[in-house]
Amino acid sequence: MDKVVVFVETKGDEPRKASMELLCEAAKLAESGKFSAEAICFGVLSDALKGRLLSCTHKLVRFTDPELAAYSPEGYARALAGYAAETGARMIIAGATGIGRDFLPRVAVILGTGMVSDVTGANWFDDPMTFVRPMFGGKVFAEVAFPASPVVVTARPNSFAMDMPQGINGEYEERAAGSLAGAIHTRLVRIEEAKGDTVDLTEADLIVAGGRGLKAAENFKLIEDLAAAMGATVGATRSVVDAKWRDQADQIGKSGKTVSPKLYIGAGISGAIHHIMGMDTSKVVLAINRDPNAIIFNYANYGIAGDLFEVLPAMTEEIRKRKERG
Amino acid sequence: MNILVLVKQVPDPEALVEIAASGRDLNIEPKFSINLFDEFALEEALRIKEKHGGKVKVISLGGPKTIEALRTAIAMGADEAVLIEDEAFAASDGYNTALVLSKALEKEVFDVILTGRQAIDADRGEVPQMIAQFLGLPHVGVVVKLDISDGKATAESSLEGAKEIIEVGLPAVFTAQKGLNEPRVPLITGVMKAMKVQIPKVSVEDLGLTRDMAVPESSKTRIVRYLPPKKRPAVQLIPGEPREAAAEAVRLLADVERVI
Amino acid sequence: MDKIDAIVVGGGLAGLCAAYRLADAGRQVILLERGDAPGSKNVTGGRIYVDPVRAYLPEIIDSAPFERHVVREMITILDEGSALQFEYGNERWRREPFMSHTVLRAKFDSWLADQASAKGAFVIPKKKVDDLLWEDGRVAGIRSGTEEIGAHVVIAADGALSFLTQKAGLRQPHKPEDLAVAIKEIYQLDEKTIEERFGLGPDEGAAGLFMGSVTRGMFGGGFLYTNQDTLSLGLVVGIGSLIHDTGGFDAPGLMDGFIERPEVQRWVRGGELKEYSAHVISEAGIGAVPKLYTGGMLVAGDAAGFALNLGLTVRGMEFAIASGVMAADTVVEALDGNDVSETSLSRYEKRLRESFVLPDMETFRHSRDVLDRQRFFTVYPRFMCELFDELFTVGAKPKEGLYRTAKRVAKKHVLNMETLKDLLAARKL
Repeated sequence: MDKVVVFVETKGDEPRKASMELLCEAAKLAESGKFSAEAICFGVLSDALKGRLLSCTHKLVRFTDPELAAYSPEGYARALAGYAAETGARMIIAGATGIGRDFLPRVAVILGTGMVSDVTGANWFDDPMTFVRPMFGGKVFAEVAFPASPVVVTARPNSFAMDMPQGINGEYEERAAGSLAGAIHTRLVRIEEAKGDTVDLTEADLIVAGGRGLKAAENFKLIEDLAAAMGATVGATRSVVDAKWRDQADQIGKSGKTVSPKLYIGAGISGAIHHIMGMDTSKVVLAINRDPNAIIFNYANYGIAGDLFEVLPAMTEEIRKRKERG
Repeated sequence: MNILVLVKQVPDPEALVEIAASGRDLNIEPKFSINLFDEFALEEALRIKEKHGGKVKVISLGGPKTIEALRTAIAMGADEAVLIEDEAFAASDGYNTALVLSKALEKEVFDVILTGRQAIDADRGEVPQMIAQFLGLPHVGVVVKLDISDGKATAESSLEGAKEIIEVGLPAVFTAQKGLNEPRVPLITGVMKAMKVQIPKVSVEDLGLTRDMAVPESSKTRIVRYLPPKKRPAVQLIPGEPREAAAEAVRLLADVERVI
Repeated sequence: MDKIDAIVVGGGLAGLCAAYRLADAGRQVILLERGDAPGSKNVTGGRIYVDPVRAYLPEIIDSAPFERHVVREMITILDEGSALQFEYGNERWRREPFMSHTVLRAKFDSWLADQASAKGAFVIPKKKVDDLLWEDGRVAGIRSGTEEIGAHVVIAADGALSFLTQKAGLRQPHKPEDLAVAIKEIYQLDEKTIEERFGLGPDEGAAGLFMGSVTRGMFGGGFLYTNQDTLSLGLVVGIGSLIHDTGGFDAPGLMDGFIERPEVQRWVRGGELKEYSAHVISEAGIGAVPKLYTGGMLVAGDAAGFALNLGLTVRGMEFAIASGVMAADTVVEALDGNDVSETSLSRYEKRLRESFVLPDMETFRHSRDVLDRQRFFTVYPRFMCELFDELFTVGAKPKEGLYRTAKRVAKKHVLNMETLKDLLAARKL
């Protein structure tokens, strides 16, 4: 039986969405009988979180070394690679989050193997395993075969279904990776959290994005109101960020963030290719633009060729009404 | 200070990319430029040199045309450039790319290695971290601010949403993210100098490697074919006055698509 | 100030040929082009006649990557809902030396830039020249952004709207009447399809001109050229006309109307639109040619107004190539004699007079005025189309005699004083 090790990333008392998706996927692999699945995590683990994780995985290993309390690429890489080597892991998978993409390549080199990053699909049962991943900002997808072992993969959030497994009561273990003294050369001085506590764009299921069609920074309130009514995260185009109406962190596009929500609503956005590249894998796209010939309509499921200054508030009101009706 | 910058020549962001009939190759319009994120890295290197003195050396792995990217780097102000010329390795996976570059870097003396966080063609974002691991160096990724003083660096790493302030001793590897700086436009005199300069080339054999290490069959991972992105069906325009259309849109999203 | 031999401003045909020639003569020359690459901002119909220019740059003309050599000329005269087409072909045109070739500027200019670089010229794209530098009353270099580069001579080859010529006080700003706008689309069509559809052999090409209702009474016309595996199609319309006569048509709208005509669709159907561009053409003829030189500076190509818009054809490329070469030769001579004064550089104009450039411009001095008569684009096309309509129509009623038909239609449209006036004016063409 081949062993799959899932890196579970936690943020405060919550697991990262991508990690949960992969735990569910690993549980499915375990059900097939061909794989056994384990999860590892670092840092503090509340009882509640521990309980949640143990219902999704057959084994959870937490590394307790104080050096690993905060994220460091060298620390996490050594610990994860060491565990994988020691336990003969066949596959190491993690969400393609900022942290995941940052340290998994080091894991691969330590284990003398390659890696495939930011996959959107996997054929676990093929030999060799194959993965699908975007290239050229999503213009093209590549099917990558992974003959080497172990297989090291990061997966884009929202790529795997979060079908929670049933009837799992995993075993919990605490470990020390050990021999970390002098192995970690970066020191985290402090973290400046982002403003607000909405879901990050890369993990959001619902996104409302605005472009230059909003005409002024203060008009972004229309986007914010709709997003708040829906429980969505606010996004922006490059031109809006360049005009300093929104922060770089809100930028969706080739040089910003790549998102794949279930629903993407774009208002006042023309559909320049560098923006499209950042959201084209969204499941459902609704575009609102005054110009019926706007390119964004070529990338949308639904479109309203109308005045966003009227459409957005009307949608916000409609959604609020529905929520009240229950 | 010795600052090394790793750059990759990539197809222009506007270049047309099409999947060949065989599905195993890409037809890419032959317009090239320096990878966007590597430009930020190069600009940062030039600023570090301007502040602390020293030398900026640029290294690239690629085919013969990659020389153009190195000339652009020199036009911007880099002092030296080297091309590791090998098309097989240049087309290979992250591991092989990192392996070659690490071998080249082993022979160099440096305080800082700067490169872009990912190349806009392969979009992998693996190579810089792998190089750091091969060379036994620390790295800080996705850097939006970098301060160097007394053999130490303080970097701001921008992971989703949050900024981490990280201190690390030199030498170290840093990957550049958009927002780190505004790359300068080469001066005319810089371009003239770059056009005349001789750029040395190195082969993978010079680095102790062999070509056949990079063939797909011997690589850790390999691309077997290319697939087009999933096509969306033609857009359904929702007619009516703004209020009507808005209400209908909400209905479609909530009741039909069930996404809200 | 440190000075290099020459700076050429503008990477079109005039600029690239000047840079090539200067580098070939061993002079240090920089060419500054504001577009991403030479050719990226240049538009031509287009077709180039090589006989006038072969002598200037034989090695370039003989190895240039042209598209097809033209063996057939077509003129289509259009009215609303009907059209008349003439075709002319000549066996001589099928054999070398070929008289004209269709050309794609992005490819050609890029190749020419490589040739110039190979000779040692520094061809630098993405550089816009903002101003001239002056020393002792003479042009002494350029300023681009914050950089100042000194040069003994500046060759202004910066196109139809040349701001350098204005900055140097050599001309006044253009009037709308002096300019035309050209809109062009390139459609992809398989090589074999093109050859079959146009009845051509491999490497043979056709050139088409369209006159009449496609410009809705405004001065101008449509064009079509066959390239290897694409078709160049477009419209030229006088800007003055667009502003004054327009009757609600915009240039892109005119273009759409043109492409949709069945007379155009028959050639282009099934083709995939690959490129869209627009450009300004100076059409005032020799009357708008500025002063061509001053101390330390020469003007070449479209910047010098060297374009002839004859409604049916626009000639500019040959003038650009020849004037670029002559400018370079003048500069080499001036540098050899250490004299870049206005007097020394005036030899440029002498060269132009002794070539085909100024003489041809002079010959067609009045052509624009003659052609800028609405009747050429409305009445005459309508007359011809209606004539053939009547001649070819066989209806239920007994048919009229052919002569009577012709006379009736002619009387309706052209047997009048206006036509006489047009004929008299046409002698100046």
